[in-house]
Amino acid sequence: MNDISLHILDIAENSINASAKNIEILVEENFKDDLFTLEIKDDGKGMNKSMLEEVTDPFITTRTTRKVGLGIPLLKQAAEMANGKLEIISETGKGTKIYTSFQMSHFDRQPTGNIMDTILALLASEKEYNLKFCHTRKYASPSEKISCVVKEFTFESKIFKEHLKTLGIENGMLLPIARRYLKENYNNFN
Amino acid sequence: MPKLKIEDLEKISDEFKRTMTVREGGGKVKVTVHMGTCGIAAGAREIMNTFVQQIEEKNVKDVILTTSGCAGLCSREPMATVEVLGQAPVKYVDLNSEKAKKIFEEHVLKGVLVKDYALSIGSERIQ
Ligand SMILES: Nc1ncnc2c1ncn2[C@@H]1O[C@H](COP(=O)(O)OP(=O)(O)O)[C@@H](O)[C@H]1O
Ligand SMILES: [Mg+2]
Repeated sequence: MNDISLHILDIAENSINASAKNIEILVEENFKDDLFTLEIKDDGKGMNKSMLEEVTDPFITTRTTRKVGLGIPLLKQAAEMANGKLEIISETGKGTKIYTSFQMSHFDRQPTGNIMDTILALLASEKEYNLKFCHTRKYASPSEKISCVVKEFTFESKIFKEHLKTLGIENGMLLPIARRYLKENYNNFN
Repeated sequence: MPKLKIEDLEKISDEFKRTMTVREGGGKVKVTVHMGTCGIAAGAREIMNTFVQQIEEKNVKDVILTTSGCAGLCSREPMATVEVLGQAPVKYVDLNSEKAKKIFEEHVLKGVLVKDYALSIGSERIQ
């Protein structure tokens, strides 16, 4: 996994597999404090204590007997390499929240990658759930009157799909339309 | 920024409605890209994106494109399954954009199996 957008897809796929009905992805590029943060929340089945310890503890024991993946440890490693950290809060039956931070300017921070393609791949899932996405950019203020300048792009799959339905759009057209919409509205939001 | 740019979405939708058609004589086709960790690391998202672009380029609206989890064959990722309604699903392995494009043009649009890239025929069903 060599960029952050691919990690986002991988972590959110975990949420989908955990039968989440609501997934929230928050990306924040804070240029003011040189901080890149990522938060992925879901209301899926959650994890118990021992499971939690297992998923965050990377590369220990022999994982050949059990089918345990490497998605979370890989993201943790990527964060720690860039002077950041990964934290998970999870509760059985309630859901999971994974918070990750990176020092934005760090030499070893992975590139952000193509988040638009990640959103498209998440929209394509055959499972029914609502995806809320928010990407924020915070810049140091050019004047003393305001503390910082904030730009934001938001997207919600349920609202998007509902609106397409009122426009008489068939399912097969969802992804190309979403791709065009995101290309025009997200890729160069500033 | 508002949650949804409605005017923009309507404009795009109108355009797609005008250009997109149902393929002549084509049955329903379902394409599933496997989006497990191994798949993602091997490039499954790019395969997904290639299929979306093909749908747009070829202006077809009756191809169902979805993702599913790990297919249990990590060393052969990226993988995709093509299922023409009423026929056995075909699993394609070791994909890249070029292969995905060929599979879309041949199997998805014309119903012609691309043997060179296929893993097996009829040995599994999409869950
Ligand atoms: N959001 C989540 N909700 C519930 N369980 C999760 C979540 N994320 C991860 N898990 C659990 O942790 C395991 C390991 O996750 P991961 O490292 O991504 O590997 P994989 O998805 O290949 O199993 C998952 O199989 C699942 O049991
Ligand atoms: Mg995973």
